[in-house]
Amino acid sequence: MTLLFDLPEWVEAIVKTKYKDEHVMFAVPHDLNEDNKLQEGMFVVTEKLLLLFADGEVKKEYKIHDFKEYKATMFTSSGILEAVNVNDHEQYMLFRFTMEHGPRIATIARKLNLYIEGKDMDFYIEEQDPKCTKCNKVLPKDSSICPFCANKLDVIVRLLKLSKKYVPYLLFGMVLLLVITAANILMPRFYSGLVDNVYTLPEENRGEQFMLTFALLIFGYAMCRVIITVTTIFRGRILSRVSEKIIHELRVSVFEHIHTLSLGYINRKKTGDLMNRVSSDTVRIQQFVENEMVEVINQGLILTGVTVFLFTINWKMALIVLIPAPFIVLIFKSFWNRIYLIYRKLWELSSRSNSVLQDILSGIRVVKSFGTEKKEVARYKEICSQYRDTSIRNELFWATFYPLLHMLTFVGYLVILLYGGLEVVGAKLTIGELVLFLTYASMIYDPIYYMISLPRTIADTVAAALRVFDVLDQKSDIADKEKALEFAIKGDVKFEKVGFGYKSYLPVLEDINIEVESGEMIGLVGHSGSGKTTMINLILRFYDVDSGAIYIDGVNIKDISLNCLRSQIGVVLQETFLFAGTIMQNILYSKPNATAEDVIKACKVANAHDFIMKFPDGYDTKIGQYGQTLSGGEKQRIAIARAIIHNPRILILDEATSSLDTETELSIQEALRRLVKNRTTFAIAHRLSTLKNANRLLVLEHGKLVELGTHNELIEKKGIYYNLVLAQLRMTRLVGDEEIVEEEIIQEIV
Amino acid sequence: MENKQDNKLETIDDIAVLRFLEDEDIDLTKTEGGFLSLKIGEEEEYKRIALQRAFPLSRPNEYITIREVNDKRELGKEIGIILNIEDISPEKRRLIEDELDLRYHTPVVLQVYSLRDEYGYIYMNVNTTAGKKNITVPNSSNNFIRLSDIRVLIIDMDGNRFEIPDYKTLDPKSVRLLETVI
Repeated sequence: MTLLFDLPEWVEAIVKTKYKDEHVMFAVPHDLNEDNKLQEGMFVVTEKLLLLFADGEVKKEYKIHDFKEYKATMFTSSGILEAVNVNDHEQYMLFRFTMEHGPRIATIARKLNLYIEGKDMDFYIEEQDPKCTKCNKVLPKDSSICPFCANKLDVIVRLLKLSKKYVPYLLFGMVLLLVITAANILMPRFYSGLVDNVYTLPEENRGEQFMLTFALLIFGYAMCRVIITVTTIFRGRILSRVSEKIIHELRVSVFEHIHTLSLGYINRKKTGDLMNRVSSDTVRIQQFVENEMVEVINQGLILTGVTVFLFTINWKMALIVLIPAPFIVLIFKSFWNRIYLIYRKLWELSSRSNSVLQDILSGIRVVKSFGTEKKEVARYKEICSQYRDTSIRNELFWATFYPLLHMLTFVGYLVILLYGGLEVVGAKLTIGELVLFLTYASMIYDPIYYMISLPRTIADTVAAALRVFDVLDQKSDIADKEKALEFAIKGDVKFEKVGFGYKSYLPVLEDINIEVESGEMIGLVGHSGSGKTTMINLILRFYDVDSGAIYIDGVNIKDISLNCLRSQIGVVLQETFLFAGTIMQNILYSKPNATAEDVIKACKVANAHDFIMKFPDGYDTKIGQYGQTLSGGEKQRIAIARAIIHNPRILILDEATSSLDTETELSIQEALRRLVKNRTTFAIAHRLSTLKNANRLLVLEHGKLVELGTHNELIEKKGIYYNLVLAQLRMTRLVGDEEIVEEEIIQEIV
Repeated sequence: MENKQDNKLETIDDIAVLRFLEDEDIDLTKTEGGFLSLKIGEEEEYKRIALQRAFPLSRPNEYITIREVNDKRELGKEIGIILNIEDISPEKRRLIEDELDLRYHTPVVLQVYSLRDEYGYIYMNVNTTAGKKNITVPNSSNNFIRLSDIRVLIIDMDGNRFEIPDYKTLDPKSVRLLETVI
């Protein structure tokens, strides 16, 4: 994300004179003034000052160190940068901004807070700019390369490089294409030869060679067609095979590469977006390699070839043929935007009517129970009539546009018939030449139509290619170091001054310090969003910390090989994901070489064995989309078996039992209790009773560690944990009286 | 008779109580730092408050809720509701409207100079009550929202909002350009 924009000249001039000793750290547009009017100003941060420029002057000047706790507060469609004055502790609104630069200013605010504390201002994750900073056009979703600014030729050359080993085939295909085009252009010549030398030749002029000429011309004409057919088949077969291979390789390498990337990158993209890159973007590229690239050359050749021939036959008539061409190009160009917008709107309306339909049908019980059928029918009718009207408009347009366009080309044709006819009558042109001319004239418009749509086709391909290259070029930000350590983990875990945020301007964890001894069970407690799951993500090294470090057995986890680290941690998440396959295959997922005995033992521990045995196919029962349906609790227990089968040294339970009913939970808890013993465990649970076995509880609030201690210690402290316990007890005992519950707790605990 | 009291059917009016604040209840001042502070009577005082519209689109002047901004500078508990800002005396009303303008910055589009589509995004050059601006809007009905037959809300790719109370009253060119997207 760009935080240092180029300064406009007038701002630079002021900075150079008035603040010449200051070094500019950040500069972003300051686009909203105190009266809520848009402006072209600049917000500049130097080492000591915050400067606001607008209307050709410095509007405000703040000293960075006069304030603390900088914060960007976002409202609906605008925001403010605020801070607390260190002298009078008063909160100040420093300036306003629109959302265009909101994320930038929020990032700067967070960096300023680090800056005034003298800390490093870099974060692990930096957001991407949504727009190209050069041309200000929207970048393709989650891509950092602008398809408008990228050199299109470079991209296409790179596409070709991908298909390097197939280049000979591609070249061969192109040669074949040349043959096809040549035959296509040549064919009408034989035909016109036939007309002039055979069909219209008066009997008295026929010489000895007449029949031979006749036969040769017919043969030539037929041969052209044969050559075209054979070559087309040949070319099609070669190219489709080659392009399928190219795309297969590209698709696999994209997918392979995605797996090397960190969750940080993958989470920034939507799953659908990544899927598109693997499946549809590669198809777009395939189409280009297979068709477009060749077609461009083909159509170009036809266009130039035919034009040249037209001019050699009769240059005046050639000009007449070409007269409508520029008009067609112009008309198409001017209508293109409109055509495109109508199509988009139709698409939009049809998807809207579909979603209304789905909405109503899936909520049919609500509709019926409130008796609002008529209202819903009216709603659907409304959207359908919108679709109808737009569609009619669209059809009316095409119904008028196409015949008129054809009329335009026909006018050119008519003029040729008229003028050519006169030339034939005046014996300046043979009938064969006229026929040839008319055939060529009809061949010239297709390439023109094609060329008009070409820029969009190329741009689409370049965009698709850039999205694919974007993935391929991404270096994994979490990778093994060169000499990554591999060792049997004992289970000591230490967080040292750990800070982290998924968005650079939003810290999720701040200054976390804790030392966990091997075998200890730590319960993570806190409101949702307090950073519990994030701590776990960091232990698994799905993300790297922004500041501080995490040590396992005294070794920084960045120095441990990822495989070594993750293979010795067992994870059970709240949302269990099981792959399509048998129960056995799913449990073997974490330890493919485990024996059947291991699997049964793991399932016994996870309390899954009994229900699995109830299925007719036992451990061979297929699950997933087309298999046996499992309840939430059953899935959870299989996930637990999967997590423990490889005897991990560190166990992570993220709300592992929360989706289960109390009885099942109890039975799993029992099993887990034995497993957790002497094994480093981090457990997150909403139900605090689940954590009663924890050696220590770690209470997080707004990303900060606020309480740490045993259950009893924290209850005595009467802090956040105490209140959480109180609230939960009140819920479970169905009592509202605070005093009674408090008394009970004190009785129970002390 | 006593029984009747116990059997009384409680309506939502009895259960949920809204605290409406009248003009004379509230004492608003602007702080040194540019925020609003509120005093209600002698007892209640809030260093910094925030105002929110309950119905920002359909009833922008009614049901304005007043919330406390806590020490962490986050929205805290609701203090009360102003039923209609038109009932508030001019000076306080100006303070309230300033705060609402800040929180709901929504320029009104006066004219559309140009509009073109490129790959699913509409690039528009418009004049608004807040000044001229180039805006980029994803071409979807989530971003060109028809609030009624004539009223349009535009949300650009960054989340900035623009409103057109009656697009049909704009000049013919603006109408023609807008109709391609709404």
